[in-house]
Amino acid sequence: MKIRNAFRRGFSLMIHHRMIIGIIYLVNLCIALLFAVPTFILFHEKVGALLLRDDLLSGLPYSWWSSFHFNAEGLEKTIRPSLAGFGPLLDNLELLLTGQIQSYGWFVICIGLAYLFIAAFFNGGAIALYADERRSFSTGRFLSFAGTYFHHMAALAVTTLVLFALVFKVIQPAIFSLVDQVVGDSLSQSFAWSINLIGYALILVLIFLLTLILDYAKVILISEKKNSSWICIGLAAAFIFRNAHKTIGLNLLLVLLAAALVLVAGLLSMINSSQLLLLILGFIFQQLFIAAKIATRLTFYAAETALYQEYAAARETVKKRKR
Amino acid sequence: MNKMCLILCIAHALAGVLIAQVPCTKVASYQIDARLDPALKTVSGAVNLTWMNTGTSATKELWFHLYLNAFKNTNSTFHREMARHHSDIKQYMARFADDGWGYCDIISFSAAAGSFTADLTPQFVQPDDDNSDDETVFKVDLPAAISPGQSVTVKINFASRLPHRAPRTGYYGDYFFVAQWFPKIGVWYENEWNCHQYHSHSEFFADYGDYDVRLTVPSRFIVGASGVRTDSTANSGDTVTYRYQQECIHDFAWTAYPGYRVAVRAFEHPELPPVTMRLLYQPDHKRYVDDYFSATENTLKYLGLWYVPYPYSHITIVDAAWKSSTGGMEYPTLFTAGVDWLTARGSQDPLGVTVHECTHQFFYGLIGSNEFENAWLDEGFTTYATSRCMNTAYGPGAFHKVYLSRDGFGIPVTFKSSEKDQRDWIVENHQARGARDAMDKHSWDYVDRLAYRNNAYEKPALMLWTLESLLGESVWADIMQAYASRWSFNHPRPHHFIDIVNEFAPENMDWFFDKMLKEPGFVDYAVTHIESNAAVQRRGYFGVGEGRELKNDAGKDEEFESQVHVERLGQIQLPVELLVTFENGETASELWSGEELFKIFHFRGAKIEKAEIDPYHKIWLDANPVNNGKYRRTNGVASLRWGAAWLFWLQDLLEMIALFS
Ligand SMILES: [Zn+2]
Repeated sequence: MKIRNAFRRGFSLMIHHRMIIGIIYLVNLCIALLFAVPTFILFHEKVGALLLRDDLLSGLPYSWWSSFHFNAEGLEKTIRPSLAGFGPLLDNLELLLTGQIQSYGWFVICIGLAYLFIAAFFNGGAIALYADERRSFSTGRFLSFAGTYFHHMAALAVTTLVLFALVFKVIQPAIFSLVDQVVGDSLSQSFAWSINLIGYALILVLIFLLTLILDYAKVILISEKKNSSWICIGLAAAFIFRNAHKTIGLNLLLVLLAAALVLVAGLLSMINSSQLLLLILGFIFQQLFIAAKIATRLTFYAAETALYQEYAAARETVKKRKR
Repeated sequence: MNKMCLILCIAHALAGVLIAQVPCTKVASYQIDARLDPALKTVSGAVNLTWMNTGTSATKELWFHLYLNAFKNTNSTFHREMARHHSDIKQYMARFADDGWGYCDIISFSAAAGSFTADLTPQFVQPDDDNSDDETVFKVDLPAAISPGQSVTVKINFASRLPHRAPRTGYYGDYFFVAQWFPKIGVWYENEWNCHQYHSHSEFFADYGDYDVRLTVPSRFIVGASGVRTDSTANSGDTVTYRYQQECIHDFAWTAYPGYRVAVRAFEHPELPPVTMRLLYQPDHKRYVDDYFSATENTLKYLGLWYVPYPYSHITIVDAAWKSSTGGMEYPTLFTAGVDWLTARGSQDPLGVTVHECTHQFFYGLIGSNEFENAWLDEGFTTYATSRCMNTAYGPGAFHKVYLSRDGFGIPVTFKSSEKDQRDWIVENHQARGARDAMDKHSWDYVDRLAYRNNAYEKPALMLWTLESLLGESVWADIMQAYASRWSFNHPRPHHFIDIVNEFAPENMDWFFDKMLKEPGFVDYAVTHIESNAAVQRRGYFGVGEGRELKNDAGKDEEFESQVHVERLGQIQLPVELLVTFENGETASELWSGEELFKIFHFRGAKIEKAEIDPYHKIWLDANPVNNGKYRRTNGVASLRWGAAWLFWLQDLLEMIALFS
């Protein structure tokens, strides 16, 4: 199967089971709202009566924010000027490369962990539906598949966490200590900047490869009905190694899609106005972006499943012929 | 640089050779001959100093600063204080590994005055603490006293070794910034030697005089220095000797680095004397050349017009090497600044630091206050004037965040929706750095670094902004002009400034300065509660005798009894104004002495819409201006806007975390 075909098939699978997007989006929204509402109330208590509230419509006046932040505690600490426009996406992308989630406090770590396992639960359902030949969607089947594979998906999520902890606590410091050695006594900051950029690029590649392996581990586990997630990681690595250009190529294409999505969102976020109508429009765009982001993640799984199944089918054919 | 500019610059440089006539009492004049050995990191040379006793009593001693010795070992007072205050002393000390320590040795010392010529032995003294390991101040006993009006000539041979990346001075690779490098005489001030050890929280104090300095360096080095380059001689052995001269300055610093790029421009203004600006910048900072010049020009222009014209013909701007620890720092007719290779649009880098250090040419260079004992007289005035100049010349900057920030790396992004006025930044730091200690203290006596920063920089700057608002712009302009012109080339104390304020202000302001200089703490007033309740309408008999009237207001417009609660949350008390706006558009204002912790103001009439304390924003010292104003009724649109932004952030974050599921 060509990369393009796997992508197409993945995309059509994702569209066919579009209800999954809806379910995940709703869960995402509800969990976020669960914490956004208290944040709103806290914020409202602080600014609802302030004279400065009029200025807060167009931006976070720095004079206000600095004293608010100085006295802020817990959740309030996460209110910052970079929440405006493109900022949240940049903040989160930075987090992806640094792993410094603790900078947002324990509270965010706890919600993140909870969501990680919820996402793992849905992953099982989604991949099982994508791998299922019947190609029909029902919420019941989706949830039942999700339940069936949850313990495996959760085990893989824990493995992922351990691996990424290793990346951020061991490999990343090693990379940057190397970066510092290369920069050495150079007085050129542009040189240091470029070398650091290479350091971050290496981390990005590492994240890409790890995600790739763990994605295929999930696909293999469900497609092959395996019992050990550890074995599946090994099988996934072997599969990717044997089909490097296809698997990596497909995921690069998907990353490109995600990047294009972020870019569009970035452009739309430049609409920064204090007009109520534009504020509402901006909010709708943001929600569409979240849904599109979920769809993109699901397209990854669907396309990977399609590619792997094609490979498995070809292998079966060869086996039959041999017999 | 175009041709016209080149001609202008040459003309300015020639004018510089003649050196503008600067009037000052020449107390300490130096002829220095020094040689840099870049391989050994040494500067050795000879000082020929003429010192005049301008005091009113005789002295039999001479005291000198020998500040490179602060970097001689871990036991200097500078480093002991550093160990106490630095957040990561191990990381700081790591720079001196592999023999990166610096020092200055006196090889010989002789002095000659009317009745004597003698070789003398320097003796280290520690006037500020009992740290016998500190060698940053020495004194010599003279065979005979130097009477008021009498001069002494001192010849010193010295050998200095520069430290590696020490604060403000030293080397990094081939980059040299040479400051506090020669034996510099203390100040015979108020009839005693004012010559403090080098402290981690203090700067400098010295007397004015003429400097004639010859610097010999390998020919490949680009050199910048205090004063005007008046001569250069190529020597055998591939070295060159540059001669720099300047009248009426109180210190001399220089830099040498083969990598510098040089740009020269002329500052011209119809009401101010011309100045040649020479910028030494890092090769990868070409894009900041315009910013450096623009900031310098605006400082020379605005401070020249507001206070006193810059009297020297030349100024050198040094874009310090990244990682060098030179930092932003002021020296007479030369200052250092710095900038990251990448900066955010609208971030005002390097404009802010350039204006700050250039402002020191006035508050430090010209008005030579005692930075050890009255740090706020230079840093406070400089912080104030910098923000005034920045606001006038550039307006507010944009908030920016540097993503993936690491040493030397970072992707800066501007958030235009959050603007940052220079004063916002000062208020922010004032609030964050705490209310400990009073301003009137020796720099090294503050409880910690934050207290020093707040009392030397932010609090006095906000005090000056508050004074300007309270006294009005025109009175304030007179005060500042009088202070700058009367105290140029002199050493003012705080009371000299206060005397001038009292001379021009409509009332004696001692009460204000007593609170500001002597009391620790914040100023913070807040409107904490507003309520309007329907008033009981008047019915019944009012008045006595014939004036008695039967009233019945029922049916008339409803009236309201309103309360505004104001609170003093800070320790420092200042009188403040309260402005109340009613829903019918009427306003009422009240004056409050600001002494009580809590006060309720009562109003009768329409319902209150909003109330604001210090409505014309005069009390810049208010550490938390956000709580100054309040509406009676809440409105949730702004909260919804930011609540939605927060929601989106969390949703996106959750989806990113799902990548790891
Ligand atoms: Zn300063």
